[in-house]
Amino acid sequence: MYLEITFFSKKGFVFSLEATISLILFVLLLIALPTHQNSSLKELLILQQENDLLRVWSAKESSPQEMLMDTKLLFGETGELWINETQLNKAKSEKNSIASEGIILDNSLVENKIRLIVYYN
Amino acid sequence: MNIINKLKQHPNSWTKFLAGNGSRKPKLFAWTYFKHINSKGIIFSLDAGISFSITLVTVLLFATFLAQTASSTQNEIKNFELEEKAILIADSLVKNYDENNSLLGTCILDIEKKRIRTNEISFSNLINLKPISFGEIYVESITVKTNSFQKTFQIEEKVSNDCISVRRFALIEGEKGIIEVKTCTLK
Repeated sequence: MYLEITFFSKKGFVFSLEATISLILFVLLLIALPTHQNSSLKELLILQQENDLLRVWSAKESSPQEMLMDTKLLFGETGELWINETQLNKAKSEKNSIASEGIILDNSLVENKIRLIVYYN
Repeated sequence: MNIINKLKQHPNSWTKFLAGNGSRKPKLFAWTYFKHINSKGIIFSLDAGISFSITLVTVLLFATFLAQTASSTQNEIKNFELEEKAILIADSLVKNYDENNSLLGTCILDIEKKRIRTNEISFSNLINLKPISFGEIYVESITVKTNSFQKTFQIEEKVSNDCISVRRFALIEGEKGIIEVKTCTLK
């Protein structure tokens, strides 16, 4: 008994085989837990909608104000429009963003660089 | 005096109990004390019991978590399928031309250039809308919205609370507008 007491008074701790097996099993179960992956096609849809705007603006000439109205109509406050490196509006910033860019020629064949940035969660 | 003798003198000493209180012949041997080991049955120590309980609780928690994950994944797959079909139909609507079913394409066909004018929709093409379904998923309605007009084309009238709307931007009869495809599932 004295020897046992002497043994337990030493620094450190004793780990039984059962406890070790339990701990290993617990750790393995924690590792094996499936991680949640949120799958959505939101990015694809935003990209398609940005492409729609660029396609329509190239088919029908639009003023910057009209372009801004169209952007707000489709994306609300989350869409940001840049024309020739000039920012026309400030969008509500979110965690993620998708940007599309295109060059549209006007009636006098002047190039206009259009950039659309859409923020989303 | 050695340590064993010290322990023997203690009133509650087990060595005293085994050694027979200092007598020459011990009253009780260790084999007698632990003889039940040879009998049938199992020995279950306290730490083994606790360990077993912890393992069981962990397995229970894991099983519960798996069941919840399976349930949420099933819902996610269902929503993903619905979203996929809605996006697919909406994209086909504004990018293709189909004379048999306008739901698969309502764009203007440029015969001279022999090509489809994507994102340019003819209102007259929208009259030939026929129902289309992918299993339990179907297109309920299409809404066309511009500054001058708004019209909803009801394609199927089924009762479902699980619907999704996809909005696309297009030129509708030369006017900028939104075309909204509402897709539902019966599941």
